[in-house]
Amino acid sequence: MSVDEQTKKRVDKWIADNRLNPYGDKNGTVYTGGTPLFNEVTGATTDKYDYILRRHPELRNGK
Amino acid sequence: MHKRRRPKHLRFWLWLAVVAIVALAVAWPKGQRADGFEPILGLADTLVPGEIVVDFRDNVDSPSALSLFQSLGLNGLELGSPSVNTGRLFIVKSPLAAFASTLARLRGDSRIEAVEPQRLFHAYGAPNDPRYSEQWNFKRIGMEKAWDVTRGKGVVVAVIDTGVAFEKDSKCYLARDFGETKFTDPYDFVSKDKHPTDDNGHGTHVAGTIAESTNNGEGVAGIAYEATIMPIKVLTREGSGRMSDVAAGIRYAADHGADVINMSLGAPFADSVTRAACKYAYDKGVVIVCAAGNSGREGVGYPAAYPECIAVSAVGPKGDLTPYSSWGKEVSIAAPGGDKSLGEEFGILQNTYVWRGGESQEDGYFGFQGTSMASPHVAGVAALIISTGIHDPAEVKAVLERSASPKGPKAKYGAGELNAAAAVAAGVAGAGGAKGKGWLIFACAGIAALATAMFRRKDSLAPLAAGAAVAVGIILPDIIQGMAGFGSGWNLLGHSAIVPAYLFFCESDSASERKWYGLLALGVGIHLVRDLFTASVPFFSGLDLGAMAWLWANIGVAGLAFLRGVAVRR
Repeated sequence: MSVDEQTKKRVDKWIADNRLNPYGDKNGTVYTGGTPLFNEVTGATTDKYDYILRRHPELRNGK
Repeated sequence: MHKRRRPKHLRFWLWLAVVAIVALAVAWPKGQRADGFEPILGLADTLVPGEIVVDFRDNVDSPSALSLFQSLGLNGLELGSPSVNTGRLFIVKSPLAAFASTLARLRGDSRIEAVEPQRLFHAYGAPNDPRYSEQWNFKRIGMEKAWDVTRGKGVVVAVIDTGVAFEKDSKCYLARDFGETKFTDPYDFVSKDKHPTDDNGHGTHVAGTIAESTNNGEGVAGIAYEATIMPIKVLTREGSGRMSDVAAGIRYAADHGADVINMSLGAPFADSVTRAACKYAYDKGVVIVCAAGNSGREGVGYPAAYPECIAVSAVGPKGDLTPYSSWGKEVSIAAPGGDKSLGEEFGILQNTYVWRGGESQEDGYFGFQGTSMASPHVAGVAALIISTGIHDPAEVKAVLERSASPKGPKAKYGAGELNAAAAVAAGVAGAGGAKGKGWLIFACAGIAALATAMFRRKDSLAPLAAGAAVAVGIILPDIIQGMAGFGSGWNLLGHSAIVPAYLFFCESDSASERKWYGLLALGVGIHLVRDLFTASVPFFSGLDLGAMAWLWANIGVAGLAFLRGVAVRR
């Protein structure tokens, strides 16, 4: 799913304001394989903004 | 000078022992082990339950053969193809309860030329796990040659991950190919209990690469399958967790005797708590192996990027860096991580549970891909290196890097691609070399002192010369091992008191000679006592009964020679 530039900027600001890690999770969060964007079972990759917006859909609406 | 009478019976038996050992050395194929694991020399076989191969005489046609099977209540399948003449070969399946009687009845039929139970043949050195042939990654790193030397017995590998499916009760799972794998000191830092069951599947897959039950006729193999896994859960069902739990897991592993820690996890930023935990474990002698990350670009994650850790990038079936692998100057080494973009078969195949949503799960064999899969390859080989006698984390890392198959650029592959066979060989040579180096210097100095004392009659140098004789005895087994190889029969002779005892009892004519041979025997005895603590005896898999008998018998002979030659002077 494509994410427009405005939404990306909103997400980036939300991450900075809340001092989150690049994936929109709490700082100090660890992941299998080091990133939540690569699925080691399927080999599928996920866009960072898709990952964040799926977990925080309110950001899509400018909240 | 009074000439000592040589005990002739003793001389005969010592000669016999030397001849027997030498014959053993010549006849025993290099690398054959006392525990029945067979080296890469030919074919081994295992029975296929219930299957019988029947070879009819050439004048018997197929309908006649099939009617015979029908009369016995069996279904027969004829082998053969238009291009291959296989004769009148059939395979029949018999119920296990009636297997022996069916075999006997078929053998009693005059129309049949030969009847044999069906056997599966596989190459020596290759385990009998039926899907082992799909583990291209193990062939790529030379596992079979490494297994010929060691399988990691006695080494503890902590898997800090999503848990491991290692126990079965109402809440926990045991993955099907972990029945023979050893586990110790499990802990769950998510639920704060001692049952770190895997509700994700990642940790079990990782643990499988390290020590899945092997040579058990089930599934696939693990690299250091005689090692012990310490399951530590710090990641949740979603595959994420907190750095504080990771740090606690690292310290827990170090405090509970882990030799190796594998962390197929990471975060984008460094943090002081985890770094301190890594330093704590490293200072306690733990080898820490970590996945470099799956970002597909430059930038190694944490904890992999810490200097105390061995950062592992991932290569595919052709040895090229995979598209998903992170890379950077912190990468120490590359290892197979799978690349399913080249085909489904190029994942890393191990046993685990895969969760299908909700509480539905499947216990099976799955091909995963990631630096998470590359890291346990290195952790497993690190365990093998440790089992050869090298324990210092810096030395283990040096052996891994030195033995890697060179590949560049360094930022992507580190020292190169993991080579288990070369790593274990380097470990064996390194262990002997490192341990013997100091003694070698001392022995050389002592021999020089001995020569000076003999020719210039300087009695003040005698103690140094005596020390040199002991040092020669200590390093002699390592020298022989270096020349002949760990699995050689000559190495077994080197790790015995036969030679110094022979020299002492049969070839010494004076108290002075007996003293030197006694000191030589003492040195060999010290070496064998050290072997007791490192559990490294040629031909024996750890300190089993045979190894203990061998060590104590030879230590006893060495002690006797020393006492009679030096401590009890006539």
